[in-house]
Amino acid sequence: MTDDELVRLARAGDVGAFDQLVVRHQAAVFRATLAALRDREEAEEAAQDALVRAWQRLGSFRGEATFRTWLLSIAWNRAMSRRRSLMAWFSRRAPLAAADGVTEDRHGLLETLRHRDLARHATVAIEALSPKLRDALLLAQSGEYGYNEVAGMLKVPVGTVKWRVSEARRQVRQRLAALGFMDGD
Amino acid sequence: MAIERTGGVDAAIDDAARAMTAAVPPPSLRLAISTRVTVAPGLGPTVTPWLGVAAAAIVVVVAAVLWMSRPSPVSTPATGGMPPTTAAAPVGAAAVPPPQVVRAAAPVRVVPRDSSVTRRTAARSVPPSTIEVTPVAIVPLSTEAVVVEPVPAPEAIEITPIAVAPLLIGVAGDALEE
Repeated sequence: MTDDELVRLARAGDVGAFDQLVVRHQAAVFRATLAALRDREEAEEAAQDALVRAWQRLGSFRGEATFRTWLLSIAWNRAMSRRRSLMAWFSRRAPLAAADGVTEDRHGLLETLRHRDLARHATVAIEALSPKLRDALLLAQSGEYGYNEVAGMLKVPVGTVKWRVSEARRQVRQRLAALGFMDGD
Repeated sequence: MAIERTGGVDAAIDDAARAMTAAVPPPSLRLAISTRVTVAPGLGPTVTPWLGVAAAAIVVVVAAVLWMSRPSPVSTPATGGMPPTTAAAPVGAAAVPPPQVVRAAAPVRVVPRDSSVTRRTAARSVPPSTIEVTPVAIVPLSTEAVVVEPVPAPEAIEITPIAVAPLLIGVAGDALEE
């Protein structure tokens, strides 16, 4: 049964049909919220909110995009809303620290720099990216979404997504080079 | 992916980025969603459009009630100059001369209207009688003060030029001819 058919049944109140849609797309939704929030519990709550909201708003889905694209857009919006509130909470907790310093300290960049492990440093360097670059890189490299879907979630053109991914990789590479990791390592 | 790997560092970046989002959704996610969806079926897609229609209907009804209850522009000027006892029948008063007939026709025209309209027009007929008193007292005071002042000025100016002018002309003319 296709997504469109399941959506039609779910619109009529068929909870089982909507459950099938959840089974099909929960992984994509969860990965998107995890890419945005970087925390499993927060990501699970955001994914749950997104799927319940999709159920509530199923009547407004007009089929202009695919159900998956529509659902991912809702999930990304819920994750962004939750991330904004989390950032506001963090900023209240550390009002005197600079923004860059807060990000690096929160993710333990200075501590992990002691470990001479390329994968770990790459992770830390990705965490230290600006949110726009990090979101684009994580979504594009997750293997779950195409560039069109990423562009739909971020509400930017595909070319912008590609540029952000390229710029994110350049900055991560630059940070790793500063730590002594060069190409060929 | 359109991005090609150029070496070990790029491979590490790709692997790290993939690992950061490589997570299987927990089983509790599906259970929680099915619970929330079935516990609150009233918020489902079939009911939501009806809620929207009902809300729109309520808004329309409230707007119509508010529009009907506002004072009509025709009755307001008619009651302004009328005493409060005749304010309930402003339309019929001009067309029918005998006062007894007007009182018989007035209740018939007022009945379909809201009673709050007649109360408001009756209350508005009170303030104009108090406003008319103040401007009448100010006007006569200013005109009396202006008329008195210009009277004494011309009498003092006429005395000096008459005595000086003939003396100077007569002396100078005689001296030149001689």
